[in-house]
Amino acid sequence: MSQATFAKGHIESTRARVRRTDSKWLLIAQFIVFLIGGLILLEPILSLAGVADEEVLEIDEKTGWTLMPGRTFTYRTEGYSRSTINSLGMRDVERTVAKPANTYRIAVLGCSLTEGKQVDLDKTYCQLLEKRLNKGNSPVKYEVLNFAVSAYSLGQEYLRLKHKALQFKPDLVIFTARPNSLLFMGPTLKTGFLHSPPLFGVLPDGTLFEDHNKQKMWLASADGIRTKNSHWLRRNSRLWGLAGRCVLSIDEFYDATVIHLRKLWSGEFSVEQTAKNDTEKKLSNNRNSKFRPEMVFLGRVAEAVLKAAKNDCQKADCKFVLAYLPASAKYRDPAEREIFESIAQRQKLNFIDFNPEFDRLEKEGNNNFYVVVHFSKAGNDAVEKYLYRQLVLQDLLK
Amino acid sequence: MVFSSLNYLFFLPVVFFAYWLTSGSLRKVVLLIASYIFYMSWLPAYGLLLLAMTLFNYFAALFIDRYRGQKILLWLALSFNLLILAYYKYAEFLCRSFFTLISPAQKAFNFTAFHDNHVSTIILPLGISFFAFEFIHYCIDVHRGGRPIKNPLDFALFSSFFPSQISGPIKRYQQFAEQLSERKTLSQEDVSAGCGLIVRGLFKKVALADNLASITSVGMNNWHSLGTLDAWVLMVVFVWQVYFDFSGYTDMGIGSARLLGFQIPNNFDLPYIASKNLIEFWQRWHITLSTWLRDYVQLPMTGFRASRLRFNLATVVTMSACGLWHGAAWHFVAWGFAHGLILVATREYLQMVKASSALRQIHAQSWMVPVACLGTFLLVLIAQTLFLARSVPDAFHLLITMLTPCRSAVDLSVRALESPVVVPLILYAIWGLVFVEISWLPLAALRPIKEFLSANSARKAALYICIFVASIAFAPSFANPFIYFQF
Repeated sequence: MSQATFAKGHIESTRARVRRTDSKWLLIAQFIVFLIGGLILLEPILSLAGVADEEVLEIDEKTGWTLMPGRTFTYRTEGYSRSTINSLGMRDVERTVAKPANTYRIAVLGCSLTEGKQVDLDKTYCQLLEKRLNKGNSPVKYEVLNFAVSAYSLGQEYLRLKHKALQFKPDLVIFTARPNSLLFMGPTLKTGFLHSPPLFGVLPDGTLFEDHNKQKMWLASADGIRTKNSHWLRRNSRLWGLAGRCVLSIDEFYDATVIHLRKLWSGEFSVEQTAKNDTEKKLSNNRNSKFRPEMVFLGRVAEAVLKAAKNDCQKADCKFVLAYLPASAKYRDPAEREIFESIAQRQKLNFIDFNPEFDRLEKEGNNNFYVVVHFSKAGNDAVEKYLYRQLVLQDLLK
Repeated sequence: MVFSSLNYLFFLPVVFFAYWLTSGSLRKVVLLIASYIFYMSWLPAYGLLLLAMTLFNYFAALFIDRYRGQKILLWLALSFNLLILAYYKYAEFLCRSFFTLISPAQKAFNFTAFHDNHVSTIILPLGISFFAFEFIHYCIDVHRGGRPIKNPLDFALFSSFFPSQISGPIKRYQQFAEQLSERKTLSQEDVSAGCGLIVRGLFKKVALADNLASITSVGMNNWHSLGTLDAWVLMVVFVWQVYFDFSGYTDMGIGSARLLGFQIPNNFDLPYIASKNLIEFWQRWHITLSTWLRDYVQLPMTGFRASRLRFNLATVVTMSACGLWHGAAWHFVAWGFAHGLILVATREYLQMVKASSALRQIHAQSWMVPVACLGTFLLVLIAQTLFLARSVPDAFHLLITMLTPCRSAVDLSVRALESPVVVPLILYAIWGLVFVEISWLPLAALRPIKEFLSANSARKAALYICIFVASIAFAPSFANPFIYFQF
């Protein structure tokens, strides 16, 4: 091969390489542009469809977390609903902080069972109760304000009462406890947004003690700062929420896989059966936990919370009711029910226990009160009916 | 393991890399292990059943080939497969039907105890209807003169190949064995086509079928309080749910096979959009099952030169068997029977069209194609009431509701319109208009968009990622199992 031919060949191959490189970079650029363009286009599409916006909680330094005011959401995890959190951060219709004249206000404090994202807003028991109370020609107008927030413990309910609900000058406060409320009062070793709420204890003289240390530590951690800084994205980007959901799913999947692999390794081949056994074991441990020392301690904490809530209500000149909500048979804990009943007796609280009524209804063959663990439409109907009857019986609507 | 689950999202890439990083027989071993892990991830013990059936059919086919002409061997093989299918799938149905027939004698025999102790404990192995049919086809074809698969590894792969294991498509061994013997190389085309099919299938399943399922379940739970409009909405939603569910699964299966360098047959070809009559519908819907039924049920009954009456009778019998295949209940048999009758009527009508010039002229009109497609869709929809209902009387109740005006108590139409499924349906329709060629729609103007979006692999990859993200976003939290798993 002559020098000239070699040089020509070399130049051509270099050019070809450059062209190939060009096209490779061009492809990468096209990929990035098309991907970003596609994802940007997806945001309004998801918004139009009303999906991937299940994230409704934001950091609240007083209570741990609260509902995002004005946030429109579609809930599809259990049941289905689409609605908007009101501008005051409540799962409720729009309200004013100032109480209108001739109005009897009922403030309901609670957790996801009362928040009722599983059904449309007008099907929640608070809204149903308000409608029923305003049916007649009474000169007094009734407002049932829903202050419930998902995953709240009794202590957080109390903080919500103290810092928010009492500003609305309610005439009656319904403080709801859910099944396993006591266990949810306890500390957890897990960290993260929903695992770092304010904690509570009891001082030797029986007064309530608020502990915000774990919450503060988490807020100062990288995870807390990231959660705080990504607030805008969490509130406005559906893709961001979706990514968060994916990360959670992968995390859960990883945990489940590790457990299953361990079971397989130890020779337990029927993975589904062992998983089922584990769940049943856990549930049976949770039940009849009356004699567990932590339940006794947490019962004392709950009593302090309820006493503080009742005292605050008395100071604000409003009545106070403790309502113990029902749960599907799987999650019932008779011991906990007894603890709440005895607290109500000791503290002379108005007490509404939904469990006997739900037992009766279930014996009659009604068993469609729950979507997984929360109230279905029928469940909300039943709660509202019984709550109304009890409020009338206990003369709490005047 | 379900194609639309997180498990599969991890499983498939692991298999993909393990498969392409090995070569020769080792590659087949990887695929076989993966297939058994896939199957046993549901109920490990049933892996043994699949293995036992594989071993039996492998040796049975070798004997059938060796002692050709001995029909007894074929009958033995067929009986074995059918008995296993009958035991696992039809035991309850057969027992119930038998004891209903001899109801006076039932008093002497405690049916409930027998049912509870022996029948209700049987769990249907996933995909048994599909792989049993593949084994039957294999034995019959070997008996008809085909060459059996000699390599046990190849045969084990044919029977357990995970992309088609649980809900088909029903493979033919000739094509599959040929692909097993090919030297495979990883091609960009296969990867691109495979990924495209997987994301398309995922979108159909989780964004469309699963969201439609929530509307269907509301209708099912309020069966006796549906209004006329509700009943129509329920049926329209259900027929599309079944289509998206099953074709979504098939797309993901074919896509997964494509990633591993295999081409398995297609099962759907626009059945609701392009079928001008019910005969054409069955050529486009669950294609591998309808061709299987044609080759191994109908043809043995009719031969190639049967009289019209015999052919029509065979059609009705075949379609009734098709109904029974779909589920062990009388309403499924009635569904198949109804399809059989409509197929016979369609064939007779087409004969009339052939004979009459006036009818031929009407059918030659361009507007006739969409009208015929719509008519076919309506026929399928009405017959599908038998498929959806839990019993024949329930199906008739729904039909009466559809045909007699009555007020709505459930507002299923409002629920359907408010459901998150509307937007993905519109997106899917747009995708269909751009990417799918439908003969009776003038869509040439949209071709440049298709070319623009799929001009190169980079754009396609970006598009697939966006579809994947959209699928996850639209997916309801509780994913439903695939409908065809129960068959």
